[in-house]
Amino acid sequence: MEEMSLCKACGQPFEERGYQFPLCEKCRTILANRPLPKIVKAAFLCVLIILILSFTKFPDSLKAGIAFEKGRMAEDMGHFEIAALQYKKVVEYFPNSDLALARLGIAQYKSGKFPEATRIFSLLSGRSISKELTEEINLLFKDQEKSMTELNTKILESKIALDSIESQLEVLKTSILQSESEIKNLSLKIDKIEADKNEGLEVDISNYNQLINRHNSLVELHNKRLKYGDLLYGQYLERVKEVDSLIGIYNSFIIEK
Amino acid sequence: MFIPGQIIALLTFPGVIVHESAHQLFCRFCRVAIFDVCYLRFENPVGYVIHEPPSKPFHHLLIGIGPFFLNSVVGLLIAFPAVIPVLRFDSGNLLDYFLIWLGVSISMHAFPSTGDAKSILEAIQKKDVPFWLKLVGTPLVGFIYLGAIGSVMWLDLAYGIGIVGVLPNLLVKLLA
Repeated sequence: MEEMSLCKACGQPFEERGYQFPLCEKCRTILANRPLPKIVKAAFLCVLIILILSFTKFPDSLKAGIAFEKGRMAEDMGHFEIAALQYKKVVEYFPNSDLALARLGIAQYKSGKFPEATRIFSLLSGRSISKELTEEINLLFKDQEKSMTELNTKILESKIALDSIESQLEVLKTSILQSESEIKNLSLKIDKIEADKNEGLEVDISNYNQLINRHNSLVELHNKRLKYGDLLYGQYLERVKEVDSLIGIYNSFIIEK
Repeated sequence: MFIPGQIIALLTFPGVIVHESAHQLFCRFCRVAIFDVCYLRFENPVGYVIHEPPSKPFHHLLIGIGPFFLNSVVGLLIAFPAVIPVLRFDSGNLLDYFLIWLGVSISMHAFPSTGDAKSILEAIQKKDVPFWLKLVGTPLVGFIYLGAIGSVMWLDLAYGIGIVGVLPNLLVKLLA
């Protein structure tokens, strides 16, 4: 027969075994289920409500976080346009995030969208962004200055080349016009000799042959000059295009500044 | 920098309340009578649960380390929606900062106290305790003591920030 003990809480005899402290089943259950104070319960309830509310916006935060991560990966792989697209998504969710704006600006700059990058960087001016980001953006500006100097040199070189082609074309144009008028004169002389010959008049055949030979060699030279002129003009157009694009890039830098 | 425990408890009081509530909850699960609970006070210890000795040593272990799990999970859950706006994009609102404070406060109090460790150690040193429990419990007690020593060097705060900040960021990295 089990030895009966008295419950320390209610004083009733009990048989519950395994515990060191003498308590009956009922008292132990009551003491183990001691309720939380009302104030603690109320605080837990408040936190739960706040938590539910904040979880409603969590999907957007998560999407932004994922887009940012994808942007970073694209940037690491050198896909700056994709990175800019991802950072744009982040900025839609967090328009005041310095980090998202700075990364968007950097990605746009590196993908060659200078005016867009400038707009983004201007939003950041006056804000206290991290040292690393500031250094990264400043490095871009330093690179830009270097690029502008290089561009300037290229533009000047191209302009010199363009001037040289222009003067060559001018010289060629003069010689073409000269040979054209010479050919015309020779043609007239040859036509006259042939007309005299057809009317039965006596003509100087050796002179006629000389004129024909001179005419033919002049036509040949004229054709060569025309061909060279075409070639030079092609080169000229290419150079003009190059200078235009260089000036375009240079101007975009200036607008950016 | 040394800041007295009472001031830390004052600044992070929700963590103390959740810690003691966790002990209480595990006492309820293990059907262990509770004689007194103090959820927060500005003395050492800042909170306590006085309960009868559990009938099984495993229950002793559970009651001792209960706050470690509960505080970690609750702290993580509370701060979770606010971590990305605050820590990643520095675009949190007042509510987000409140949740971060609450989450860090709760998870930094996850470590059982040296009192909890002492109580677990006493329980697992008894003769009738199974070997596996001694095997699990002994390093755990060491770990708890290490945590208590580390809290002087803000290990508890580092743990709280780690729980709150690292896991959501890991999730984002995994999903990206």
